[in-house]
Amino acid sequence: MAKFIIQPHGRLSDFVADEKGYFRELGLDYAINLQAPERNSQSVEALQGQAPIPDIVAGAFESYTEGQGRKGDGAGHVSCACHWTVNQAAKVSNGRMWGKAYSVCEAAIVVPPGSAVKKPEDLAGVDVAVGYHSGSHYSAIQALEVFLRHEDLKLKFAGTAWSRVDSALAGKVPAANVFGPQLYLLEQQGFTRVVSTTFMMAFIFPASVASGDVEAYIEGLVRAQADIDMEPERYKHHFLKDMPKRFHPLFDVRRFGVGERVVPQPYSRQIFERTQAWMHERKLFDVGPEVGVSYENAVYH
Amino acid sequence: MSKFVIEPHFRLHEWVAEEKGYFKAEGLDYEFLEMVRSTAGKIHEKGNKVGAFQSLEAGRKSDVSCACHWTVAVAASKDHGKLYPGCYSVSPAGIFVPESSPIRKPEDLAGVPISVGYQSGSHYSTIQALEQYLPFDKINLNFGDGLLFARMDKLIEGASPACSLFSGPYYFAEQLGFRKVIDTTFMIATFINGNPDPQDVRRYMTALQRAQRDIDLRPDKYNHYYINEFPEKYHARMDVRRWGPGERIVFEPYTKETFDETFKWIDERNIFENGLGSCSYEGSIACAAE
Repeated sequence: MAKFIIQPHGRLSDFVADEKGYFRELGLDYAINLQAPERNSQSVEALQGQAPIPDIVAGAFESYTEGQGRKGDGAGHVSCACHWTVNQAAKVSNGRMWGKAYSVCEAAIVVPPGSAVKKPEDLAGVDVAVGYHSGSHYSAIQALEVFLRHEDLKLKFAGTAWSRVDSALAGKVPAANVFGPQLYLLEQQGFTRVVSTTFMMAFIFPASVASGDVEAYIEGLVRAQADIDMEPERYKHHFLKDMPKRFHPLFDVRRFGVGERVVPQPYSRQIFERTQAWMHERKLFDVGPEVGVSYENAVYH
Repeated sequence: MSKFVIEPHFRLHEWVAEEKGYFKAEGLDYEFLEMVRSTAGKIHEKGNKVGAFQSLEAGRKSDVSCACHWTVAVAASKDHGKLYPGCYSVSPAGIFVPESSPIRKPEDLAGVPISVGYQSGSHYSTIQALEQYLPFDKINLNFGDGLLFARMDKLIEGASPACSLFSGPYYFAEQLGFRKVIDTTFMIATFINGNPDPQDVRRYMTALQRAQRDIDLRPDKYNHYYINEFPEKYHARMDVRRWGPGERIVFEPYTKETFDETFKWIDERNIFENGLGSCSYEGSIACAAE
């Protein structure tokens, strides 16, 4: 039997479950894939050059299209992305969404020290770095449409979460939407939060993967979450495992928050349908809500 | 039958559950006992070394309320009420300093008075976070500035060099430009006072569970409820639309293992001078309704 490959998501729970042996206790023969190549990222030349960085119009959703339920070629059997992208990927049959749990991560739009942006209204017409069809894209819209007209909301598709950190540190973007460890790192670099964009994430797996393995995996994460809740200080060092080494000298991981947390609650039909409606009202995809499968076929329970 | 009395915990859930009619849908005949806004925050001006544990010891007027899990566990162990084991909650928390403060990192807090609530979440969580950096005798806890909203007043007035805050006050401090030095996120537990009908407790929790899902999906829709439990003197300065969702309820059990580890942790740090009570999990938890 081939190993069950876990694609980590920059959170603590996978590594705590690994440390504590929860996955093995639950019968999972697994490996954590830390070798996924950095993709959808700004090049060193783009970050160091005088010109504005280019938009990268590919993100988590496009990775699931490419990987047919995996987060790109070579990614793990189970992975995580924002619930909007996972919802739509499952709707158009690029994998099945896990319906018995989701996750939530602290997120925010931040600006560098000395920025003239002090409040969300100041972001009118200002580039906000987000990842295309990724959590930061949708959550920036959800948070900012409370304050701004749509025509004043300006998104810069700067690539993955770490690419947005690179862009922010290089001074190539005036604001960035970041979550979990990226948020904590930038805060330690003096960036300040303008508005919270905390959002939901979801799990997805290809149809060929045994659902029992996914069930065991999620159970391991839930057990780990209880450990993290009880004494987060013990486990924050695990953030380092899924953070590019070039950032390590820039922060003290002990000061971080707890990041993404797993929520063992159902992703219900109502949530699925409300999310579909929200995305398609904003015309975020080339296809409309009529394309794809039903909730029952998209979401595994 | 008397109403089921709910003391909200400056979080969104109770208000969302009320707005959506979830309590009524569960058949709960309830009322809120809101204590912060209605007293202009005075309820948190407790004086030196009077905190959440003392309020549980003195007896609360509600059937259900919250405090940090350390305090609820000890209060239940000392027979002042029961810990509800069917769930717990977690709140973002941190130690904040004024924007102009020379304190940049946790090590800079050595010897600096940090305002925390006595035998309240901020007391334990500040120790838990700072003992990675500082010897115990350099962690200088100031218990004189009161509970959450009272010590937030002191920080805003410039009378406190460092202050531990959570939930709404955490976001308000951030909005006002105070700098977070270290995260101190911690667990909270539900305290059952007296002998309310276990079915009412179950109805209450089911409604909160539904509210939590609504908050997860669209936090932006519900942040305005922070206003309901903030002293009115701050309302004009608060932009709650910028804030995060704060405390979240985790519908997973508060286990015996967690309880035992918690007592061991408290005992090792001598936080209670007069003992920790029975230390019996079975004797401290409320029975859950079927």
